[in-house]
Amino acid sequence: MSSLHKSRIADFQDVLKEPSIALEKLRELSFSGIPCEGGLRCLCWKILLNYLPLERASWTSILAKQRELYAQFLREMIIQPGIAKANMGVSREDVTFEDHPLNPNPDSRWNTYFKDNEVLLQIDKDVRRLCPDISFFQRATDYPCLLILDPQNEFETLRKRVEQTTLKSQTVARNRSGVTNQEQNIKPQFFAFRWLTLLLSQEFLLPDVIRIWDSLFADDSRFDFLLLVCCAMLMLIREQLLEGDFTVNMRLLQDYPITDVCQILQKAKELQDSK
Amino acid sequence: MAETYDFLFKFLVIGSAGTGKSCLLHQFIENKFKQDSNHTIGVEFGSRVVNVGGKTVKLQIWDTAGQERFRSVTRSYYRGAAGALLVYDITSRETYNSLAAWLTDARTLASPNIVVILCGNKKDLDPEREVTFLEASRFAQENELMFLETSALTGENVEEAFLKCARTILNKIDSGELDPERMGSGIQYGDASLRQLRQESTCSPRPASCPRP
Repeated sequence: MSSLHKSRIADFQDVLKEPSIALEKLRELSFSGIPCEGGLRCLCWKILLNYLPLERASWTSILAKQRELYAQFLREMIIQPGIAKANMGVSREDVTFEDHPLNPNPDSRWNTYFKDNEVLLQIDKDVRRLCPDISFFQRATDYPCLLILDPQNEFETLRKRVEQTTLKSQTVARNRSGVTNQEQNIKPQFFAFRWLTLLLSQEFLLPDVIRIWDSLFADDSRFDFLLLVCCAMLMLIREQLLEGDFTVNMRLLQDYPITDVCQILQKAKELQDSK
Repeated sequence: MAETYDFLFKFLVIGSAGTGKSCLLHQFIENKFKQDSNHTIGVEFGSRVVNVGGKTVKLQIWDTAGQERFRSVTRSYYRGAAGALLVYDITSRETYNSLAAWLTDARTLASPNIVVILCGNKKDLDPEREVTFLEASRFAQENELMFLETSALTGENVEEAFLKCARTILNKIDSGELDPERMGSGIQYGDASLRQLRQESTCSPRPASCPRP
């Protein structure tokens, strides 16, 4: 490990060991990327995303409370029919009148159980194929994360984000410094919709996405920097865009050619500094 | 090198989530089945130049997101489309039941004259079929759609679906039923036809318009 990297880790550790975290300092450090070592990134993200408060002393109790809440959700929501009886020592039950695995009744707890399991299997499949090369996604999971499972919740978050980002993408369009060709009528919603709603997660490899998110989460006005990153992405391929026709340009924008995210982040930082 | 073509058609691929729209597009463009396909967010594009009835046609294909939550944004992609593949999954009655709504969207938002081909995808999963061929072809007939059952997995009828749609549009141009010059027709002349038009005008007996060296 280089001495520079070691000293960066030390910088993070210094900030994180204070009784009350200096948020500005943490943001500044995180903006340039968080080291992967020693669980630094997950701790920093929790603080940057307001999951943990700035007072160190309360972390243990808050985390314990959140984990208990999660366990409680699981107990309430994951129905395992027959478990209660099995726990009472009843090994065989008379299913003539009661619920049983072959019960076709839609109210059957067994029926719900099987349906839930279908969803869980689908989630498991989706997670595994998300990034097959990264071991994290291949690990077996015991339970679903209920917040992700709750469709209402997911929809509402997404809807709000889309609403905000669509408004913002109009700003991008205005400030685009003539990157795209009006004649071709390439509208930001053709490509920027995905960029903004998924925080660029489909445009780059996962480790690079995580690096970009370090900077995005460090942004105090939450995601203003995202717009600058998108602008930087357009400006860096400006020459190609001016030469290409609609088809070529759309391919460029949906299959972004530059893989060096540091170059992109640097350009975005320049834009931020010149504001 | 720039491609030359006679016409450019804007095509849509629409239909419910998980019916295989992106896989159909991928199969048509790459000649391969797309494993591990993700949900489409917003829209994705593909293009291919095909030969139809002696004409070269560039298909500019807009593959839209099928999920309901993207409906408001996908609608904004419809404008000025000349043709559409309306896709359902033969193993899911639910996707078949929503066809009427998709069709209404296409005809009101793209153009009432949009040429639509109905594609019953996942033909390879015949044992799990929930929609019969007969039933779907009746729906197609009632709504003046062309109809094919396709398989993005094996490639069966995929190329045919796109070509059939393109051929019908060309026929309508020939018969005068569709006017490429009309705004929002979803049809543009390509370089090849423009050159031909130019040649015709240079060869016309109007020496005044031909500058001499």
